[in-house]
Amino acid sequence: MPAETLPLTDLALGERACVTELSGFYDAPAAHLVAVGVLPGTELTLLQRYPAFVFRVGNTEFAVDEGLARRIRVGKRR
Amino acid sequence: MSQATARIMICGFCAREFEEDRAQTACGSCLLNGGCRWARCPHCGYENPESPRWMDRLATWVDRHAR
Amino acid sequence: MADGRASCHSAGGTGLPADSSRLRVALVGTPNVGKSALFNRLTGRYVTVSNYPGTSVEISRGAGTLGGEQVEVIDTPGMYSLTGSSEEQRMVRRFLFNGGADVLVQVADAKNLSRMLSLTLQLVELGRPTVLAVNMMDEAVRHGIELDVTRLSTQLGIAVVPIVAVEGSGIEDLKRAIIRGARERAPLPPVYGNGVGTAMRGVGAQLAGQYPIGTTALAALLIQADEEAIAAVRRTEADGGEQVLMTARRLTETFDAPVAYKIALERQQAADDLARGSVSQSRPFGADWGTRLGHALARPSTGIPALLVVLYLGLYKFVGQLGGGTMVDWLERVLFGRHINPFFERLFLGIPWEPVRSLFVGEYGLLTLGVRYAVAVILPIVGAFFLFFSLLEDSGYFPRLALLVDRTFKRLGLSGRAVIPIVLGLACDTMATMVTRTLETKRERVLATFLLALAIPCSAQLGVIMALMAQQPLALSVWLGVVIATFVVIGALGARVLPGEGPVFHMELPPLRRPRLSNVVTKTVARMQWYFLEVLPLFLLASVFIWLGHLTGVFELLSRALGPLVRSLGLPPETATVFLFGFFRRDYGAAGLFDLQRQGVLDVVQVTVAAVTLTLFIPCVAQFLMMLKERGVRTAVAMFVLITPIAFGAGFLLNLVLRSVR
Repeated sequence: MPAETLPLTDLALGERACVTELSGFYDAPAAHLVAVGVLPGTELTLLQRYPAFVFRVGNTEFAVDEGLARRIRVGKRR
Repeated sequence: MSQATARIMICGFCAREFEEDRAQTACGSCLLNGGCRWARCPHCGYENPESPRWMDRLATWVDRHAR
Repeated sequence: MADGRASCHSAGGTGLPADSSRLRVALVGTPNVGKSALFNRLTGRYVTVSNYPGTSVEISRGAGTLGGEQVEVIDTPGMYSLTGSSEEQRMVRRFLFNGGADVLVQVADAKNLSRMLSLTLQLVELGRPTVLAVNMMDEAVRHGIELDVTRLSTQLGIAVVPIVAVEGSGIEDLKRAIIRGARERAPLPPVYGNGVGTAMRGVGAQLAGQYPIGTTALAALLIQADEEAIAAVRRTEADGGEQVLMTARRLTETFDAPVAYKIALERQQAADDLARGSVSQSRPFGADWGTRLGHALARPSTGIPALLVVLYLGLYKFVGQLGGGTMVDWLERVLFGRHINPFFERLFLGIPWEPVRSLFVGEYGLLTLGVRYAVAVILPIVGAFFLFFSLLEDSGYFPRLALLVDRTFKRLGLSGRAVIPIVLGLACDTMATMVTRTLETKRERVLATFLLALAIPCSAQLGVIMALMAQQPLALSVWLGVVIATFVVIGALGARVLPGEGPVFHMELPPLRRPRLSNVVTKTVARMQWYFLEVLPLFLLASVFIWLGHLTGVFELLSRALGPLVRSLGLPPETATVFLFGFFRRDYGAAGLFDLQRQGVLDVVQVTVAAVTLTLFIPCVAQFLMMLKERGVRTAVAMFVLITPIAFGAGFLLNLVLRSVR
């Protein structure tokens, strides 16, 4: 379990982290992320910050806007 | 309800695959309900144009006669 | 393999049903891993689709033959985890609880195995015979991914079979593994570390009854307070499950984080360890051209110049110059001018009644103008546009385009996705209005419909405007500036005024791919067929009404009523007819405007004002009907009432400004 968690927006480019929480879990966009496999426990790498946040999970890439990115909380792995 | 195995389409927007038949459950409330020549991707909602039936028949015909 | 790991845990035993009726094989897996393709491979032509009892979740069943044995194959809805509160997940849990399948086959994407193995572990926990079918092996190999099948199989304690479902390779191996799996003992549950594993084992040890699923899985569900699991324990345990349920409740409270999350994290860690041991990637992901080009197109520094090049080559050079210029010119002048129209004229020469003759042939005739316009003007422009659009669509460029414009579009109350209907609107606003269904919220659909109706000129309008102003680049840039300004200002205003939450942008970015000619041609033809079957008949119908209106004099009255309005824009009264009829019949409006210009009735300012007003006004009756159908009567009429003063107001102001500048 990572010691501290931070929003995806605070991650540096190219940094890896592990999803710990999706706040506001039950609305449609968050449910979509869960449905495509962005679940607590999955590891992601941040690829791009502007104009939208792009990250890679496994060999798949996702784009989310800043509002949604802020709701994805991640923890850096030991 | 028995039916022929559905054709699998690849969505033009999100590139995920779906069965053409399953697409129609996505627009059940529509008046045309499946008769509109568009297949709505159940993953992202994109409206994909269905290939016209005469083109399918043409393709099968060409296939058969090319062999 | 499961042999050699035989032990005496409660849910073990072979998976063959006692009455030796047909073996039931259930396909489980995340969405988009080729589950449907495998289902089609394993079953015959005919399948039944029905709702799972008490739910709206659809499951497909089909009959197949595995090793000479008749089996039933069941396709379950795609999901990443068995735990969760969606209707699909509850349905699959209930299905497995009721012993709905003898063998579970998980279909997984070889490219993303570590994300799939968490579900594999959940299935193994169930203690039922399980086979892991690793699909899309060919793509994984192309990405430089290697899989140690034997090692993964030993670690999981189940058969692992690499397949390519769409091609059918590996299917025979998979069939054999399914039959073998059904005869063998079920796998042992995985062991988790941390407090979670201990808690699961502790609860599992207290379960004495017989369950259709393994005690590990049941324990995990009990700790997560799953209702279905609690009900099963109440039914099965001798003491009604009091003891074990209390233990589970106590354990739930000892965890600081939500227990479902704890378990998910443990499982993922175990899955990552498994993947690390048996999956290796010789070159890092992102090394192939599709991924690298995809990244370049999504970054503003390289993506925006690339977008401008795409627009210049695609829209200006291909659609505008080749489609709208060269091809239109040849079709109009040669094909219709020399051959088809003279033929029609001769055909109707014998009809004595002038009004009937003028309906079909003559200056504004249905055949000589209507058909000519459809085939010689619309067909090449719209066809070239749809070809360009389908090419971009099939290459996987659209998600990048949506990403690139997202921030800009948010100011108009739209997410980046709305760029698709907006671009399509440049071909046909009617089709684009239908495609706004792609947008997620009602608010976005309303805003996009409004902007399409107001400020996006369709290819038919563009063709006319380009032709009218071809010799006046200054007028053309004034027109472009006013239309873009209206789009931005009114869009931003609309986003402020319309209540409701702002849009959210999220999407998977599929890798760029080389467009396939057959796909591009099929989609282009499909869109053109739609256009000609849905939109053009309305114009032809409208033409008949216009003709009737002419005969009865109703339209003369209407255009006379419009006269003062048109005059206030500084336009000659004849343009009223063009405005009115243009809405009902595209060709008529365009031709009318041409004639006025040719007669020298319109000067540069008037052409610019007329072009701006026509562009901002709702393009045609077909689009208005589509607005009625998609957005409802009240919204569509409200839009009409709003757009009319905006269009004429902009024309009025532009006229004042241009006159004073001169």
